[in-house]
Amino acid sequence: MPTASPSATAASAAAVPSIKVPSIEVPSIEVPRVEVPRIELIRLTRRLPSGGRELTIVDAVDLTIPAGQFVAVLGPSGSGKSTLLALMAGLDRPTSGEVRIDGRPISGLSEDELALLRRHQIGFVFQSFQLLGNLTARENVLLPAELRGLPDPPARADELLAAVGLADRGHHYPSQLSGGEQQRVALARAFAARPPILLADEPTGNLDGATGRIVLDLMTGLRRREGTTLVLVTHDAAVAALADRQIHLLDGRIERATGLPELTAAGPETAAAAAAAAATPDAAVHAESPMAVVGR
Amino acid sequence: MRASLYLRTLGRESRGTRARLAFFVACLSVGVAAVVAVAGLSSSLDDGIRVEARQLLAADLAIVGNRPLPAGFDPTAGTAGVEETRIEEAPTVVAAPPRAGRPGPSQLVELKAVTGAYPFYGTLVLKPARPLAELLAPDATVVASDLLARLHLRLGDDLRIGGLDFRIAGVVVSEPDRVGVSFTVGPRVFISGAGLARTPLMGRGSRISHRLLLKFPPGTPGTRIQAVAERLKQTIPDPAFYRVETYRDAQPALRENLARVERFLGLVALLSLFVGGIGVAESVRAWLAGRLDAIAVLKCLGMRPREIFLLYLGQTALLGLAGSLVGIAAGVAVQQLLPGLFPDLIPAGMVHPWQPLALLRGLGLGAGVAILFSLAPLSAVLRVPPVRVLRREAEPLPRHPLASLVTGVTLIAGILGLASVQSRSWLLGVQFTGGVLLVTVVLAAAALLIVRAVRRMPRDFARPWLRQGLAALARPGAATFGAIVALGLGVLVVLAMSLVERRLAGEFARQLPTDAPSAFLIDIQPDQWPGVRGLLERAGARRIESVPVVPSRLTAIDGVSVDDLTGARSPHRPKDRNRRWMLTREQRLTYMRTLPPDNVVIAGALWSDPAHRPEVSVEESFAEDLKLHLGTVLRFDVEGVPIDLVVTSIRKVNWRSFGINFSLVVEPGVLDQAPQQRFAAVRLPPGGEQRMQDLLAATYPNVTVLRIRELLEKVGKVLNRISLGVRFLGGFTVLAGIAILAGAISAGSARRSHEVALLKTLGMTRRGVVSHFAVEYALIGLVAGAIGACGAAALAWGVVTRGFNLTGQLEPWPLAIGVAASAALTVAAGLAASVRALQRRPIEMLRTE
Repeated sequence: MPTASPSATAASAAAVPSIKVPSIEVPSIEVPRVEVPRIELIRLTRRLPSGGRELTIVDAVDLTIPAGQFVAVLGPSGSGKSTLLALMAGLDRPTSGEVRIDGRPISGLSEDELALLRRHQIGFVFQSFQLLGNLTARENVLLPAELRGLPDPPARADELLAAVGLADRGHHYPSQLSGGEQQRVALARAFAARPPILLADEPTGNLDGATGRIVLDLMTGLRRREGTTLVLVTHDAAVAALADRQIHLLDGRIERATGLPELTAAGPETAAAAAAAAATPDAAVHAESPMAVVGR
Repeated sequence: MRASLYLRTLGRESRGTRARLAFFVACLSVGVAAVVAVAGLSSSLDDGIRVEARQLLAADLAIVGNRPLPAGFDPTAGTAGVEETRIEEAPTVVAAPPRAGRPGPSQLVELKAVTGAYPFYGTLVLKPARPLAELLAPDATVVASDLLARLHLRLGDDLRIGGLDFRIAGVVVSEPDRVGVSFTVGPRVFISGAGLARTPLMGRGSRISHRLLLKFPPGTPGTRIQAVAERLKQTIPDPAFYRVETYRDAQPALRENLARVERFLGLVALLSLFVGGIGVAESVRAWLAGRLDAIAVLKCLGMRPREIFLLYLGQTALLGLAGSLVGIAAGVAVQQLLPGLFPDLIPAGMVHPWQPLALLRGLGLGAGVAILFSLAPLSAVLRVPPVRVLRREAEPLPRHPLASLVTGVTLIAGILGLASVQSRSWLLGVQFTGGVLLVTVVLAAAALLIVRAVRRMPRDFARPWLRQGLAALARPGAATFGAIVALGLGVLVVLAMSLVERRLAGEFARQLPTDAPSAFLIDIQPDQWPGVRGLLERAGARRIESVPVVPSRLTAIDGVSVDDLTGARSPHRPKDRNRRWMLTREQRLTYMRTLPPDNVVIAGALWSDPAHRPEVSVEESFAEDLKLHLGTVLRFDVEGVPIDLVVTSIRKVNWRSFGINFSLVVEPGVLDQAPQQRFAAVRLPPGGEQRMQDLLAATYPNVTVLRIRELLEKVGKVLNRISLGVRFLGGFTVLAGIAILAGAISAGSARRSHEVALLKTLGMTRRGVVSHFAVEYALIGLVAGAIGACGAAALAWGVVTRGFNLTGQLEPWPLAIGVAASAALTVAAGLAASVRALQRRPIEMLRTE
């Protein structure tokens, strides 16, 4: 489990420019002066009742993910990867501990506020695609952009469908598409609302190797283009190798972390500082800042 | 979410589910069709009944008074095309003209002077067979045949009425609106209004009753006539002196039954709507069960729970609209088809299905029911956990107390509103809603107890198929419980409906006066009775009943003279007027040892005075009107002899039986020696009345025969129509209810295709899967049926005894059949829904899940 250390904190301050974002088409990113981590997990714990006793799925995980980073969460089946992802998105509520998005704790938010958080901040890609069967491919992509209230959602949907190579299949329903095509639609949908965060749960798990590769390339390419923070859950080491960092989970705990160090350590002091920063009016601006620049 | 986006999403989201929601539309449309058809048919039925019943009044509406209508009062103001006939009636003495210097014999008769067409409805059978108005010149009269016999007159002779001679131009055979026999004084004599004006009879004025008959243009709806009647009751000057009657009031035997039928029809429409609501709730539940994944995805995409709720509510409203439109069309079609199929029930030309207001009401009720009954299942949308996208078995979100409260309050308020609109009464609406609430709570508690008991019950001993079924019944989660409650409510409503219908139709059939007397004989002298009886027996009469009648006047109650009792009160208060009339009229006393079977002593005991004073038994309403109670001493004047009688019992009389009944029955032995006559009731073979009249006229000319066969036949016809209507509409609603319940069960079972696939994958044969499901469905059906049957018995009992004033009857067979049918229906509908899953390869089902 990574622990906070002064050197890590120092390194993280300098790490922002070194994030692999050279392919972003916009020349520069407005780097916030006070760095607030995009996602912060503090002693995050989730227990589920199971057959009369409690099962600890996620066990006091501390993790800090800076804006723009690509983190892969690895682990065997049942290690708590997906639950960790669900907790980050406010899909599930922790038993104890805290999730902060852009420094803002989300545990006190109502279901409505959580929905709004996802609408504006978070995109998803799932192993089982989860496209809405009643909607055409294009409509699936349109929906998040429309919900977000972006200008000209149809143009955005067409642009993204073209980016995933499905420009001419927009009128098809999910049932008329292959698995790979469905996942590409899901990718386009995930990016449609320009979320600063993308959460992906085994996005290639239901696809054959070649198709999986295509989807993965598209995802990382789009992520770079949009400057999105990506947390990807996988049990495939080859997939994880594409990430800036790899977090290995075992029995709900972080067994080890490899790759880039964290930008901010999850110590109590820094957490408090981050919370203070989140309380400033700037925080919201920072949260939106990558989107404000990228892709316009 | 902006409105435009909402509408777009609504359109998209409804796309794939349209076929699936056929159930929803079907359930609702069956419910709405029932409401529209029942509403339309009941008004047609009402019109049909009116066609029969108005013959008993000879008009659509009558104003009856014992003084002429006030000058300047126009009862037909504002209603075009209404015809009027004026009738004056009075008892008077007529006589044959003097012969050979000696006055002719005389007779007390009922004089009826007619100005205008008579009768508007029904037939006045005359000899010669010509219209009354043609026969009735100002100097002519038409008389009952027994009067001719008594006065030894013939057609064409003169009859002296009010001192003037009238030529006898015809003979009355039967009269449509001569319904009362209790106060008949003598044979009928008709003259014209102009004829009456010639006589000095009008001048005395004391006992003339005035009757204005109104006939509305053909096709005027019954409701319109009732409305006019209500308006007249409000606007007539000196209302104490007049009575406004419609066909409903023409025959006491019908009045209560018409009211019952109206209540029944209201109940039918309300309950059919309610069953439709249950169907809607179940199909929404099933529909949403298939949409959980999509809802979770929408939440993931950032759609707020309440936005999703509104989305599905909007869809429900659209479907409700569609279902209501289909239902209205079906309801109209049923109404169009019926007169052809059941001409006895609804005469052709009585059906007016295109009543925009009624159809609009159906639309509103349908959409309202759709939204209301889907609120509770729809609120489950709020509880769908977004984490379901990652973990399908995720627990639902905790219930939001405010949302539950709002849903509950809206549902209750909505049911109250709908019930009040449907029954057109707030009070009934409140009673219905309270009843539904109570029943639901009891049902839910019973279902919970049973599910818990099954859960605790050891089932290792059971055979595998039974074990599976029991396990399914006890399965954690609300699905089984909810299904039992919904199905139980449905069974309750349908079964209660059917029980009430059986009881009511049975009662109508029982009331059909098949064995009632067809004629009454009055004014028989006691010494004539053996002879009269012999004549009757030889003529094949059956059920010959005879009682002595002693005319008397009431002079004092508990020592206070009647003059004091009446003088103390203002004559203008209607209640007191009635009381005064009851105190001062001639009282007909009879005496007998045991009471006829249609009498029930409700207070005191017959001939039970310990002091052995002379006793009298008083009829309930008579006792109420005169404020008599047990122990009251009544003093009667019998031909100048005062007799004190103590009230020792109070009776309830079934006046509908058409038997001979008296308000006052005296202990035998008290009046035996008093001057008296006999009164007889007999049932003569068809057509025997005229022959009997002729025979009696020759031998006992003082005896008057009152024929009531025609009246009985008319009452019978109306009762028959009511009974048929109740059976038909009740049956229709029960069938609609069964169809809806079957749909709801199917909708609930359709989501189990995954389970079918899984069981097949585990190696269960199709037969195995079918028997596994059949046992489970049968158990659910049995439990729901048993709970529903108990509730139905209680509800039907309440409705029958409280709503219809009938005695309750516990019928075990329909209940048992209901339970068995509930199980069979659940099995059939449940399996029917799984047919597709059974036929397809498991992998197809598993993949689509």
